[in-house]
Amino acid sequence: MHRFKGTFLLVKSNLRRDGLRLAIWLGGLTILSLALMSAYATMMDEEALKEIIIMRASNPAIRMLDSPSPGLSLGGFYTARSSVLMTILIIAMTIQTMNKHTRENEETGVSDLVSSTMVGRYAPLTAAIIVTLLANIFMIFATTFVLYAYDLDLLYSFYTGVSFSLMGIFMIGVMAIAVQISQTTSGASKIGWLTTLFFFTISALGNLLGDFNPETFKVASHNITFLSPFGWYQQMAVFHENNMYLIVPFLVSFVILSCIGYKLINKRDVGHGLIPDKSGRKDAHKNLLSPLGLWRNLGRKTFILWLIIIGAFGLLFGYVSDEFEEGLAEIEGLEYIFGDISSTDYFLAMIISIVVICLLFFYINSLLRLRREEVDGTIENILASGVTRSKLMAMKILDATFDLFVLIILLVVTIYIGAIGQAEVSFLTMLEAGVSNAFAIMTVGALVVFAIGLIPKLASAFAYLMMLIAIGLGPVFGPMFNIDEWFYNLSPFSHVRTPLEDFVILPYLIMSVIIIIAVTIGFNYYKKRNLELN
Amino acid sequence: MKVIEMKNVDKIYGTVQALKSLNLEVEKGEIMGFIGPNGAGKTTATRILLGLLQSDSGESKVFGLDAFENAFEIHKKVAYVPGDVTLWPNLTGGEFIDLLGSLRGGLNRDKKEYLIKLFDFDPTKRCRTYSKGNRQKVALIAALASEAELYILDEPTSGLDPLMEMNFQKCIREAKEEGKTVLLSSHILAEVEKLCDRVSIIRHGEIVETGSIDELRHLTRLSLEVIVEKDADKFSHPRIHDFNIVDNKLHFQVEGKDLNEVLSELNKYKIVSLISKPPTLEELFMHHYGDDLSA
Ligand SMILES: Nc1ncnc2c1ncn2[C@@H]1O[C@H](COP(=O)(O)OP(=O)(O)OP(=O)(O)O)[C@@H](O)[C@H]1O
Ligand SMILES: [Mg+2]
Repeated sequence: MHRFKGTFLLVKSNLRRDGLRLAIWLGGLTILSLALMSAYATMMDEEALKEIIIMRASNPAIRMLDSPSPGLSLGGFYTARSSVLMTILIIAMTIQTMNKHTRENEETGVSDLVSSTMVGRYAPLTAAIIVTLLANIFMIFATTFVLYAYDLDLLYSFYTGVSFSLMGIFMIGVMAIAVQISQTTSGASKIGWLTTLFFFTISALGNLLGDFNPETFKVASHNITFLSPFGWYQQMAVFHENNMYLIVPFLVSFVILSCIGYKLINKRDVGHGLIPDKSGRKDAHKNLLSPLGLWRNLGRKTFILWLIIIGAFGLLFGYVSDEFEEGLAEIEGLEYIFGDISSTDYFLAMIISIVVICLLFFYINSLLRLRREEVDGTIENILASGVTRSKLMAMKILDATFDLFVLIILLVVTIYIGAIGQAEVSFLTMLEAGVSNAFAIMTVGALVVFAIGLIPKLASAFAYLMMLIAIGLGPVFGPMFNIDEWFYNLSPFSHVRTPLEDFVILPYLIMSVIIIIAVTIGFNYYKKRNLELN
Repeated sequence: MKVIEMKNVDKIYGTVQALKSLNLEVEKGEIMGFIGPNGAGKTTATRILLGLLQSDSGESKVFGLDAFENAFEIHKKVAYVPGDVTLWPNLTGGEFIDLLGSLRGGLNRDKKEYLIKLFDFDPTKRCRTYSKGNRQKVALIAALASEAELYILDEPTSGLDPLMEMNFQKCIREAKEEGKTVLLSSHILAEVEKLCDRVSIIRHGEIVETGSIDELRHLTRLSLEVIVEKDADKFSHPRIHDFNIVDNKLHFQVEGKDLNEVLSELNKYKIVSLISKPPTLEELFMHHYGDDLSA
């Protein structure tokens, strides 16, 4: 038990140092859920409720962003309408809190008295888990309180709170691993958000592929949703079916993930030289010996990880492709707009444009590596040797773009393979959807290159802002906001052809021009500016 | 032929003036020491020479070419050891050395093997596991194994143990025999004293002194201990410093140029014995930076 020594002291000190931030989070979340609940409760009589459930649940695109409606009730509607927002905010709080009490403490070296006393090896992680767990448990009671205050059943209100906070608890497990793997706070957050995005995409597609029954007001999601913790909490169907046995996969994965986190603590010391690292090559392989070779080498692990994720996505969606026809059949009046394209192809093209959002994340991060190497100082080595800056930058763009196309082609091919024996799909339609989305991705990438050249210190902030605009105002999430049509034009994804539209070349020409101009300016400034070392 | 030539170079970071009309010249085949206290501008000057930073005004030339505009041509003939050596954590030391060598346009394999033995270095480990001294060795071997004509070394021995420091000095002497040029920035005066033909002292971004070590000694004070026969307490002279007397024994310091005058005055008191110590570079350093240190 000596490994846990000092946990209690650390918990106390974490709560003392970080109490205010947590109080703001928890207070804010409670007020938000109260505001949402009060809006629904006051505005909706039963007729209005029926109408809005039918409106939202029968639209496959909106179904992706809502939790599936469990049936006709105010409590059920609350979950369906607001749980995605609430759970994502709970996840944000969890990611930040776990980071704050692990990585950030390590990076800044906590000055507290506590750290100078004897603290066991597992104590800091355990303390972080306990504090974050406490915050999530608080949210269970806060949600219960909010729903109960509006005269909903006490037990079901409690179940709702549990179902939301279980997402936070799952992410505690994910972050227990992320903070060990990543060297930096921002790296750990990235892992957390990527995991969230990955699982959200699965459950969103499960809901999209589901059926809505207007008699029972229930959305039955496709079974792939059970591959995602978002699916687990959504399928609890509180207020109706109350499948509380779905707590089990949450608890099991929380325990497994945390245990891996603890195991990695021991492993991490290896990297610090207690036990000698496995030795590597004495001389470099000849493929490494060029700027392109270096970029490929540095990005290899990440790339392989993405290959696995994208390949898994592709096979999964190919495998379920035969159900698309059914999914659409029930939506009245939709069939006539398809023309000569099958509904399966239409759906697959939509899926590709969703998965491509994840690839934007990959592409931008890969390009930003150029800037990260500058901050870390490693770039000084290369640029003081016989490599020009233009070449280094050009090779990075080539490297990232090559990976992007490999991933897109992999996605299309794995969907095709997965669909064998399931549904007739058109390889070309899918490939076209992938490549035209790649144009949009490269447009955002070109703006990032521009930023690395022109405003290096702000480059990564700028890149994430661009990404937010491109995704947020794009066709997948854009319709969530009721804003002027014009704003959607800001996202390059809004200009990518969907399978039902005629091909128009102008948007692609404009994107190409933007790419050329932004990259040219980026190159010119990158060549001429001071390196922002240290 | 001048390999390095910096004329009136200014560099300003925001509000900090890192270099103030800096002048630096290094001849071919010469080992030039570049010393100065922390924050004096050594790293800034070397980064300008490598075209990593652009100066705000003035002229920086390497091999007669503009350091920023012609960085690519220059780098083929330059090997550099940065002040802060950062390596890619997942590459091994051996891979790093080969990579830099090949980016520079070639690496002498035999020399690499020789240096790895000389520095008692294990090239098969991942860079993330190397200690400070071993990281320094990676950068040093990568630089010294290349066929460069000019070595720019920014505090190359920081973190090396004394034995490795000796090996480093051996390598630099060998490089000099091969006719190579070296710019060696350092804090370690003994090292500069042993290796360098000439020294430039930088302070607050300005070169305050340049010359051979002997020349610089000439500029500074000698420490004298003199025993005279009579009336020691009556002796005084406007040009002497830190004067004190114990019985007939006088201690004081005097600048080289005043030595003759002071000695002829002393002669009136009949000198019995005289011990003079040349200043170490340490004292020379203190002489120039004394007010920094006392401030
Ligand atoms: N990127 C930067 N931004 C702002 N100021 C800087 C930057 N880099 C260096 N400086 C400042 O410029 C001055 C010269 O720094 P430089 O690193 O060249 O000194 P140095 O002689 O190499 O010092 P040391 O012996 O500690 O390595 C210092 O005052 C330093 O604070
Ligand atoms: Mg320095």
